[in-house]
Amino acid sequence: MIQALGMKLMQTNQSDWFSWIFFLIFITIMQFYASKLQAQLWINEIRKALAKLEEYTNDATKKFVEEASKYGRSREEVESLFKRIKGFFVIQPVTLDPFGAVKRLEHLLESSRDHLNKFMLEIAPKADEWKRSNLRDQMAGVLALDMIYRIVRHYFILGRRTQNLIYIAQIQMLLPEILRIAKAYWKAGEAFRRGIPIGDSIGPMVALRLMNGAEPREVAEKIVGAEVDIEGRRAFVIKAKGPGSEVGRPGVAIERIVEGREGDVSLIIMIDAAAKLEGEPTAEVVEGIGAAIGDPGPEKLRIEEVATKYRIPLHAIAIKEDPLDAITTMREEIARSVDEVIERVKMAVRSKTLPGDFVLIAGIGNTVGVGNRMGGAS
Amino acid sequence: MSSESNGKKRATTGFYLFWVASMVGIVLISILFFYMGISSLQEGNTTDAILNIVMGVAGMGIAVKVAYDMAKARLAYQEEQQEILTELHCTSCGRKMLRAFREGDFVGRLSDQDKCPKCGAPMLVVSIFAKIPKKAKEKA
Ligand SMILES: [Zn+2]
Repeated sequence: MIQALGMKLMQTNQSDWFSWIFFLIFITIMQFYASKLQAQLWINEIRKALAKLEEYTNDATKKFVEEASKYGRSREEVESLFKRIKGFFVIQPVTLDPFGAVKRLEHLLESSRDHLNKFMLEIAPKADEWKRSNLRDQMAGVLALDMIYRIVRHYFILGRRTQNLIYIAQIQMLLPEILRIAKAYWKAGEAFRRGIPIGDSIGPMVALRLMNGAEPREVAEKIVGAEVDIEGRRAFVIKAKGPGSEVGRPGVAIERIVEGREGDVSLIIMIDAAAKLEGEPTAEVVEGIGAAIGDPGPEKLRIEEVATKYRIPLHAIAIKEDPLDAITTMREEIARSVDEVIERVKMAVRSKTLPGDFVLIAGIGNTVGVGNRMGGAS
Repeated sequence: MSSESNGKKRATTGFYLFWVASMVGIVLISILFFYMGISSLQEGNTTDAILNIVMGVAGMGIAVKVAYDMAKARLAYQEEQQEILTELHCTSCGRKMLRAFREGDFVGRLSDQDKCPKCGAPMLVVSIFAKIPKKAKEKA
């Protein structure tokens, strides 16, 4: 066949030769411009993703403004107030001199919480506490989306201007993951707007079921607790104060309760959602040792310190889920794991303590859509 | 209310028609090239035959790729649909009930609007979750 082809080529007339030469020149030019073309293709991909990110951000912003303007301020007022908070940031404390870094971080986090809460009072003065906290975290999602959009836009413009493949490739390779995260933040807004439990709410949900209708009292900032009998032990169960979107200060609460009993606590059980690895089933319940809490540090430190001071064992029960499921509406499998977690709590209580002992059980996580008492009035 | 579209825009029918039309066009042209290639092969015109057959196969490859991408995009739209359900238990007889989530529902709430269908006692919200359609679940 190749021989035939060669013969054919020799037989062909000039115009055929012409097109062959043209074809070869075209291939050569393509070789030189391949990388330019590749850059252009990637820039186009980033442009498309950027449009998608802008759509998510605008949609989330629109929904937030719509929702917030139902509580005492006009749409225009809400919009101009929101412009003021856009780009809100918290600067990490210096760790070059690590002494007291966690205390300083705690102070910064407290200030930022305060700032956002005051801002919500301003933007939605007529909303009740429940709605205000839901609005605050709906807004937090919008701010996160806005930040993602700004970063991708930065690399897009930089890449387009410099035509530098490094900038372009960096962001292009991360695009699928960035879009997945952005989509989760966009969906999270809906959960907070409507007050639906999210994947992270599994801890408070288990705690509420353990409280079993007992009357709760506030034990620390945005943390409620109630004493119940579990397997003949005195169990004090705590969770964030719902049903608004709150995580509270579980570290402060645990410290206060343990100090209040001068360390007379036989066991601390912490229940929290944990990031699953790819391939692990959603809602797998696993147990371990340590303070199961995903805060930036201050709460975890308080718990570890007080547990160490009085030599109280820390038992952790984790419900495995995708980190993005943790911020969006709770999936059925996760909700159905409550009974198994309760069974595990009972098993841990039976095996690690004696009847009459005092056990502290903490359901860690955001309590959006989860109340404070089973059978509590609306 | 049962299936929130989450405000996501669906691609318009015009858009799909355009894509289907251009795909049919590509397929027809590819078949033509392929046919031309085969016939010139039979005539012994090997150069033309190879070029035409390659063009034909490449065209059909492009058509398959576009169809695959479109099917994937459609599936992505389907994935959006999720139902938010509220699970209630009767406070006196323990009967279970599932209904669509309503704003104001929260776990632990004693709902005065929901009466037990069997004994008429008020019902307690015990769980709220998103039911994910089977198809999307398999993909995940
Ligand atoms: Zn009943």
